[in-house]
Amino acid sequence: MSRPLLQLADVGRSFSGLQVCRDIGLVLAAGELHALIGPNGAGKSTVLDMITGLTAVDRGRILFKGCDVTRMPPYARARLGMARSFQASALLDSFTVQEHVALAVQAGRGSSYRFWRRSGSDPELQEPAAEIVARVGLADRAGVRAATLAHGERRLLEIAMALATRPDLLLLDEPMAGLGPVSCRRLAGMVRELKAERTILLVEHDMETVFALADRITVLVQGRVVATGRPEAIRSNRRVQEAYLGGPCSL
Amino acid sequence: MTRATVTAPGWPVLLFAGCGILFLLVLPPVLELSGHQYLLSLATRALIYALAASSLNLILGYGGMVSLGHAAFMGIGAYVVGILSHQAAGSGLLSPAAVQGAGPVSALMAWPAAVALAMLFALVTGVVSLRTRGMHFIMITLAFAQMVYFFFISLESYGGSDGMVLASRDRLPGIDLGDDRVFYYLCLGLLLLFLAFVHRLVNARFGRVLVGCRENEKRLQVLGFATFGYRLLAYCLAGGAAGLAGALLAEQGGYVSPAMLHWTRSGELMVMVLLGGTGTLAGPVLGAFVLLFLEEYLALYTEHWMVILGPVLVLAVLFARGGLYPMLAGHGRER
Amino acid sequence: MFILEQLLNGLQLGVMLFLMSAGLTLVFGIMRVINLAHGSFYMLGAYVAATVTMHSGSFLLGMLAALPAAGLAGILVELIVLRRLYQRDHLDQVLATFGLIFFFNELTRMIWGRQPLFMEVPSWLAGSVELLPGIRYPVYRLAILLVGVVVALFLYLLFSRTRLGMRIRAGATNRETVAALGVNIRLLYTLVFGLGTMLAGLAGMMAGPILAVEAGMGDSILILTFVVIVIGGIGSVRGALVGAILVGLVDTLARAFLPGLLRLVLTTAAADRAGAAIASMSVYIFMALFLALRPAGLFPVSES
Repeated sequence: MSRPLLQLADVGRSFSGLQVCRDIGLVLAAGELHALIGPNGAGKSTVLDMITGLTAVDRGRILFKGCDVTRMPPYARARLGMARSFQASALLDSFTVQEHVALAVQAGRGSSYRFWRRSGSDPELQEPAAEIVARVGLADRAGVRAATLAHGERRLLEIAMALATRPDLLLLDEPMAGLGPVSCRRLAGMVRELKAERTILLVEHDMETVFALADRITVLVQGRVVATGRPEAIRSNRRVQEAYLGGPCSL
Repeated sequence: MTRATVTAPGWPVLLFAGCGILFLLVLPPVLELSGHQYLLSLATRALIYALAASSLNLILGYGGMVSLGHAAFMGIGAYVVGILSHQAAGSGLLSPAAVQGAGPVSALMAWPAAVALAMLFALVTGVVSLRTRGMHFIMITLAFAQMVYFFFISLESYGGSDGMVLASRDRLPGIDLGDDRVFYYLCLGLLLLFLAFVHRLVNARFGRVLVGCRENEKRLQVLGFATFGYRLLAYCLAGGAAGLAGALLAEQGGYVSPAMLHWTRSGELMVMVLLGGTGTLAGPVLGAFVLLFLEEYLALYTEHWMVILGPVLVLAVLFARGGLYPMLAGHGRER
Repeated sequence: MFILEQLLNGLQLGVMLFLMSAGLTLVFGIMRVINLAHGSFYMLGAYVAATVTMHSGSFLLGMLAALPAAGLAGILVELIVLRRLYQRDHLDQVLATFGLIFFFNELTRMIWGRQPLFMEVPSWLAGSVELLPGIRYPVYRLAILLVGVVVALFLYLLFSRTRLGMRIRAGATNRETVAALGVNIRLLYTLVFGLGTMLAGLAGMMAGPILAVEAGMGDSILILTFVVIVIGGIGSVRGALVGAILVGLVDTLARAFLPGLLRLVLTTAAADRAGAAIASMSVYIFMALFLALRPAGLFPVSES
């Protein structure tokens, strides 16, 4: 295994006295698809928030590409090469699909202190954006405003935005939540495709997808890491079964 | 492929803009021919307030920064013009031109100074206030404006709470600012220039980030934008434009006073933006004209016109959501 | 000795600001509404008290009329306008309540004219007492301080001992919880609003004999009230109390002592000018510094 791309060491966080996460250790090797699973309220989204910098950590350190990013603001971490999709999709209601992705492309292209040229007719932004929009299958919806998109389309757009910044690390927060079986399969296919290109940290409830795609899995229960390992090992781990399902049974 | 998503302005917008500009261009001769010359100064004031309201719209409508202290920038601009003129007159440096009625100070010096000082104030206060959100931001901008308000009141040598009267308008090479019609067209030109600038700005990369901040700032940070800088720059640009509007207002009316930056003035600017349509180019202009002329019109019928205007505002909020311009142009937010 | 007098003056301004901000901070905190028209109820209280006192000759009657008048006016405004604004963004709230200010200011001008009214201090509160040997202080101003203490106590008991108070407090921290508990939120909001405007009316009434009663008198104290609320933490009555006293003291003491202090380093004329200038800005400078250190105010009410 080469140098880890992302490393969390003894990371902890409490909200008004309540420890949401404690002693989290997590290592992502470059190129792997690592899944983070756990029951509701286990603190998975908080972990993503801490990695992206939306939530400050109380204890511990976060290293990304060998840099200590523990105290870095979110935008600086993003510029180092991480991107994230949101669970409760956080879109910009007045922007169209294409505009969303173009904005994300813009984020990955240095300074945006440009005041005159229309971004809407700038091929440097619009061409890559159109490409990515087409890739996630939203080409025929490119001119539609986010406010009027269907739920599944919003998820796809989230992923398109994350991709558009050309990140080395892709953090996906429950990309399949609330999707029907067809969209679900489509998204799973897309994640499988992305797996070949980037390092991915996938938070997901859909166990079938997780066990089919993940190289390694970390299980989080009540803010603690219960187990980390290859899917087979996790499947047979007794502690995981107990903690996750309240008793021994098959995952 | 790429052209498909460019939201080109539709024909109602272009029609509206064309008619609006034409209307403003022919307004002075029409007023003169119909014997309503006295309305020219009101129209000029409306243009100046339109500039100020448009600058507020840049941060409020496009940037989502609800500032209730915008009159402070206008006041600073106005006082720069006032103080410079006062100093020049008092120091005996009256040029021959000044004796003939043209102002003692060159507008080429006074106006940029007004803009620069307003921008500087925006920079200093912006660094503090842009760290806050929502109600806090509203109140902090208000508090900073009050600070300036009381500062000018305490300037006894410049008239204190009474303000001061300017001898005459400043001079501008080749242009006679003393001519009310010329001054009207100058204000119109500056307003259109600023609107064109805003239009390009919000559609350029910078503006996309700014509008994105209005919608969801955290999302933009996670995308990799250091949003603070973008918002601060927009705040300074808006402050500078409002400073210019203040300078023009001082020239137009020939006096400056702390009343120009009373907090209710900031409220009125906000009313203009909302009445016309936030986040639209033409909205604040429309709002400024409607508010000023409505005041004038109501005042013809009763000295207590505010008792009518107040409820009109309340009704406008409750029932005319989005403002007048989107209603007239028959569409939503234009960018 | 001058210091003691100024301290009392500062406290007295603090009491006024507390009465104004206690209600407003709840409206901010619970309904999340920016209400610029709060000063109008202060003005209304002053006008009603002045009028009734003038006609009846009894300050007590004036007081008895002013409080319900301000409270009822508040309830009416809440029912007619404010309740339609709860779901709107702050911008709409600012605009609508700004319109209300226009309306109320002009309405008082129509009813009472443009000349300010003057209210006499009632004979039983006139004169002054000797606090310490050689220091006399007006009884009326002491009475204001007393009213402030009584109201603070009343609010404390209301919030800590009664169900209504606890519901209001819960509403400030977490609206959903309160709604889930089956509390009639609409009624609660109306009551809180009425209580707030009544306190504003009380402040206006007490200000009557000290200041001129005139249209727009509520606008200037409103801004100071905002400062208090922001310093205290939006939604916190305790914060409003501490913030009000701080702001009252800062404003009064700066006006009283700053010119004198500056005279140590500047010429008299320059010191007086600079002192007056800085003193009038002192509260706002104080707020800016304060917020640079504690952006959420003294007692931040957690927003969930």
